[in-house]
Amino acid sequence: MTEDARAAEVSIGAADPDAAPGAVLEARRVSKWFGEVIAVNGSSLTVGPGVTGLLGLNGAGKTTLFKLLAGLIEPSQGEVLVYGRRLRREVGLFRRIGFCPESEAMPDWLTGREFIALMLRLMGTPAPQIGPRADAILARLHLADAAHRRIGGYSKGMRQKVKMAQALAHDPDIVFLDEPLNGMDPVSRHEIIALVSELGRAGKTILVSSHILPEIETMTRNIVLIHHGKVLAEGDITEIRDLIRDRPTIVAFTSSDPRRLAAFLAGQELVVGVELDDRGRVVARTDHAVGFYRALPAWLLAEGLPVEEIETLDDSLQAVFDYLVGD
Amino acid sequence: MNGLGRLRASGQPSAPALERTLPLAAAAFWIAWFSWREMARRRRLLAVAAVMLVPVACTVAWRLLGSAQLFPANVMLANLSMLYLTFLTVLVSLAFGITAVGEEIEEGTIIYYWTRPIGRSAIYIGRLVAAQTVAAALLALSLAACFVVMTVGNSGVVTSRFVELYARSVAVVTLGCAVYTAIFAAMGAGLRRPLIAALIYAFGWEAMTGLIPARVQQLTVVFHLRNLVRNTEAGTSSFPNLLLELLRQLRHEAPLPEWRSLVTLLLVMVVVTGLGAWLLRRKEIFR
Amino acid sequence: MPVYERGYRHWEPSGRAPAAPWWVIARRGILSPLKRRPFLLLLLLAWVPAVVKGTILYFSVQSGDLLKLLGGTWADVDAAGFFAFIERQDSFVMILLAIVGSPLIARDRAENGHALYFARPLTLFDYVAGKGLIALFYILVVTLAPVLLLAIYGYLVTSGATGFDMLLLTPLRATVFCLLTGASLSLVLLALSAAGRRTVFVVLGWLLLFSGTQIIARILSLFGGPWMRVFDFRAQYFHAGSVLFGASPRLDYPPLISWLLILGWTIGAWVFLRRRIRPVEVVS
Repeated sequence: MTEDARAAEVSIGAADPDAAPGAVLEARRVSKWFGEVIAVNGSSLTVGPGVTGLLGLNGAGKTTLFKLLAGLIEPSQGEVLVYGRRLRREVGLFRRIGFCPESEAMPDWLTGREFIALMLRLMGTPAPQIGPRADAILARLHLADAAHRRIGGYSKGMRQKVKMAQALAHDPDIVFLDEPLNGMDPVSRHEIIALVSELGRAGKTILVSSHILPEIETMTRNIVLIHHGKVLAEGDITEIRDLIRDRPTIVAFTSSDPRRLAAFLAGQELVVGVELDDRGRVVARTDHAVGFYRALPAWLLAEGLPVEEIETLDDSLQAVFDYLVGD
Repeated sequence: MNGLGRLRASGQPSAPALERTLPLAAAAFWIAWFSWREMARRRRLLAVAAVMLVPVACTVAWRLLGSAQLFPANVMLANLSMLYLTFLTVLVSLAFGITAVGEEIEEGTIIYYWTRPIGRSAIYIGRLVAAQTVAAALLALSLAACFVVMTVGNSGVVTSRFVELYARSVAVVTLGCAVYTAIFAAMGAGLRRPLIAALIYAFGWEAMTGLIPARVQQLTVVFHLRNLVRNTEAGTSSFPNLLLELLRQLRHEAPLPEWRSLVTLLLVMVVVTGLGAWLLRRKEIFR
Repeated sequence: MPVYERGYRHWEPSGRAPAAPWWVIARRGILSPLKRRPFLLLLLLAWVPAVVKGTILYFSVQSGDLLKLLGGTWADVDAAGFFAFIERQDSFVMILLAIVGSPLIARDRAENGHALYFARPLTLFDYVAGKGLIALFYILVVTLAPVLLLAIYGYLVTSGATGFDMLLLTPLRATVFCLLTGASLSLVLLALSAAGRRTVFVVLGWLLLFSGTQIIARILSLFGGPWMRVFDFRAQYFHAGSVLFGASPRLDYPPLISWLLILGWTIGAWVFLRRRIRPVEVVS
């Protein structure tokens, strides 16, 4: 392997030792309005390394917030910071950013490889590294065979992959993925989900926007939920779920001695209700899921309660989403 | 994993070096380079090139049907110059100018440029230069083809005066193309529906105001382009031009010095390019 | 709501399908440009010549022969005067049609709209008639409508012309001419629109046809003789129309030639449209 090719290896999964701990992206009381329509209303949030899902219904302001964070639009009020600096003022920061837009529009008359090469060139990648880097990322996304075909002839899934490729080719520290799984077949979806998770584990800051909740759930448990232009919730799904006090978390236990288990749970302060369902499971409700889960192992061991399976029925992303958005 | 997943080499650049902005000239050059490649593959280039063959066909017809005494080469050249200056230059500039940046904005592909470490002025200049050069090259090649048709086997036509006039026509058409393309590109960058404005400007303002005598005409690009070819026979070859010349003489108006027209055109080009780049910097797209 | 109920729902149409589907297309196409302010401004501008002609007509009656002489055809209230007025509206017709007409089919092609249109009980005729009516409407708005108003106005403010001429014959001539030429122009424009997907390039083709052929034909006629004017697309319509209005011929050959040329390219445009507009896109 030549020196250039070695240098050009796309270091997906490489953590940046210089990356500041904590907030990488930060929005401070950001608002954006178009005429009389407020798309984002005084929202604040911080995004750190790892994968974060940006969720919201259509028209919730998700795309606007996404573009504000990526520096593509200027907030009407408030500020957006990347590594503590304003992206719109320091375009050089884009070298550390990869952006995969939702829009399907692409320069159809260029080949996939030419497009990636152009994007790398504009990133300031040294000339000898451009070809090898473009080839590596196209191969990684299983597009090597189509690299020399025009993008106009690509399928929807292939176009999506080229968009991903241009966002990742220069090994960015922050990656914005707007609906990255649109139009992909199940195998490709699986590959992209694995890739995103891998990038997140490697310490990259990945912000993924999607309206398909199970997809986000497979990538991360860390979410930002936006509704009517406001950030409703931010953080781990379970922790967010725990904060929704008016809807107790429901936990189902499969046990060989359900009556004893039910009687024990009914006496605990953290449990607000216990019942047996038609499958013979003990269904407990708690207002403090985090405390409940923390205490549970000790209870079971101390009392010698037999439990074969524990299932949380409504701390799924869908349940949290429905509770918060009020569907 | 195809060699992926490695850590960066130990000699990797530190964060400030990573965040260097690409120089404007380099970024503009690479954008122009890929725009040329893109344009070279599009069918629209062939369509515009086919249109550019129309004056060549006219010249062929002149060779076949024209009488050298009744309709000599320099008069044919004057008519061709007017065809190029008043119509074809505007048409070709409109085709490439409006789409230069406007198409990228309309389709949303400009987002790929916007997320690179380059200034938006570089994007604008790169796309504009690519459009200007392709449009000007098509016009110049078409004029050159007309020259070949006029002169091959017709050596009596080729005098130093004729060649000088021809060269001047090519230069003025190229300059006009650059100016118009810059104007239309700025419209494409700043307006949501640039076509309406461009049509009103090109076939309303430029065409109608050009017919008003006195200084109002000087507010059009076509006036200055015509002024630069005034010394040719084109100035009085058609009835409206003859009439305008007559009116100018009646009003004791001295023709505008050529340098003033040249400076005006260059100034217009620079100003609208600056305006276009500024509009693009302020642009926000939501798709 | 269970997941399966959130998916496909069978739609039971109520009421009847529209009797004239082309009118649904036309109405929508006519109304949507009117929401754009620059377009409305242009439409207003296209009526300025009518106001000017009306003013000149009024003052030429008041001041007698002098202004009438200065006004030229602007002050004429005969058929030839109105014909000259329609001829003068040419630039507006060109620009308005470029704006309204160019995207009519090109945009549908670019966005795969034909599959949506023809998934409904719609024939090719309905589609073309609906789209063509949009272009025709705007041609009539800037040509026939001002002529009809000016004819009534002219009859009221002047004394030279008879009611038969001003209120019946001239409007009839103008209606026949504007409808025929409008229908032909609309079909040609639709054919151009069907040839491309990008509106801007359809516009360029339209400008070349409308304005470019005029300049080129003039140059050709300088050394090739008057027959070279057959290449002038727009002049054919006025040369043919001169017969209807009893005006002097615009070109130096029989108007029948122009009628035949117009008929030829109108049929050609229809044949092209038939071949080009397909409900299903064939991918090679």
